[in-house]
Amino acid sequence: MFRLFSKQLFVVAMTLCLVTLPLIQTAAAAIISTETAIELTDRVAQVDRINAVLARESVQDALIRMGVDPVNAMARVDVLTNQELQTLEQQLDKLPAGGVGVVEVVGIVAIVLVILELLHVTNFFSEF
Amino acid sequence: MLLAGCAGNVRVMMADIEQQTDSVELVDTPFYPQTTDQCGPSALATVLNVAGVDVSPMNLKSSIYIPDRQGSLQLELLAATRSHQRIPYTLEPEITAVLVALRSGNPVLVLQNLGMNSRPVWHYAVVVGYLSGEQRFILRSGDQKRYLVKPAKFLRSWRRAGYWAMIALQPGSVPATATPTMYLRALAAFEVTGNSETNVLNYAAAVAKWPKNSLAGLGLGNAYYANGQFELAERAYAEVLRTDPHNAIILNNLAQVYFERGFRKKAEGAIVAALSVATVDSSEYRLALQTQQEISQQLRNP
Repeated sequence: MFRLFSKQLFVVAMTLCLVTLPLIQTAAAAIISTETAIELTDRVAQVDRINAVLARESVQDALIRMGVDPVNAMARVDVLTNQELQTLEQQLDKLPAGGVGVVEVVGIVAIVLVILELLHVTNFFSEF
Repeated sequence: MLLAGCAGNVRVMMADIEQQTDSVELVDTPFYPQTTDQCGPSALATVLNVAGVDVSPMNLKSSIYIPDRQGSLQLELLAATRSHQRIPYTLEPEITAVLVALRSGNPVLVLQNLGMNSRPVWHYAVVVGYLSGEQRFILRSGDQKRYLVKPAKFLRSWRRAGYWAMIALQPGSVPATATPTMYLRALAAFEVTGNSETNVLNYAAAVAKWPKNSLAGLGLGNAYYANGQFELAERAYAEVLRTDPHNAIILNNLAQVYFERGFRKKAEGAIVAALSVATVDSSEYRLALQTQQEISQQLRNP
């Protein structure tokens, strides 16, 4: 119920942004507004979001258990291409919000393996 | 899976709470006993007062209370905060963000669901403190000035509301837990209603906190530009280029400022540089191309 509700709010907010954006830009045609720049530099935001997930305790635990230095993993995020970033984020979105139950641990390990593959830390999948 | 994940989150947050050895209570936070179902205006007036805005729930009621829904929408709380020239900052969905905000002197407006997921009872309250000895959060809530609630109970009601929390910031202040991206988004949203001097103050604070963040520098330059301070805008953009020389957006805006200041050659140089660093056909490239056309058009027909 709430998720539906907040999704609707988000849609309204984004629509408002899209409607008002051209208005703001016509005021100073050649200056690129900060808001536009934020959308354009989505990559920065994406890296932030991914690193925030990697910083989660459950993910860090999983990384350490697999012998990967979390700091090292985060540094690798920076050098991914936009396409790789997108794939990585889609994987991370599947992670539970931070759970530590049995189901989640299995899920986290599976997803972290995919993450490591994407980050070129392991070649787990390419060996099959 | 999703619900289990959330439950885990509460557990992680409980561990964060247990690590708190010091109590904190913002005793000077005003209290507006809530009349009937108007918790939104009461809670917002509370946090706005602390941020230095002289406003009562009655003043806010018309702008944020929807009689039909018997409540207020989060979006409207954010908008009303902006219209009072304060920056609404939505906190990260972590209890540590709430605790850090409290320790920095900011009471935290939270949304709670006091009912069930299937039959929600939405409620806004203001967290004003945490007692580490008794392990209780202190809330201004409903008709209670000092409602003490167990962390687990509070976290469950907060979780059912998507861990939504906001603080109202004075212009120029950056929350301790802020990430550049989230804070700059808050500033960009604020920019539309904020006056240009306040915008300058805000972005200057962001630059001070994250000196190497190009977006913060862009925001500062843009705020100066909007305020008519072209020379300062130029300086802000140039400062970004020192650490981020291939930033097409900055180069584009710098070109425009040069142009408006009458530095024709410099303007042309900057826009050529913008076009050379931007990926062909990217949004930045197209915007820079547009700027180049406008500049040359105006040079031809002044």
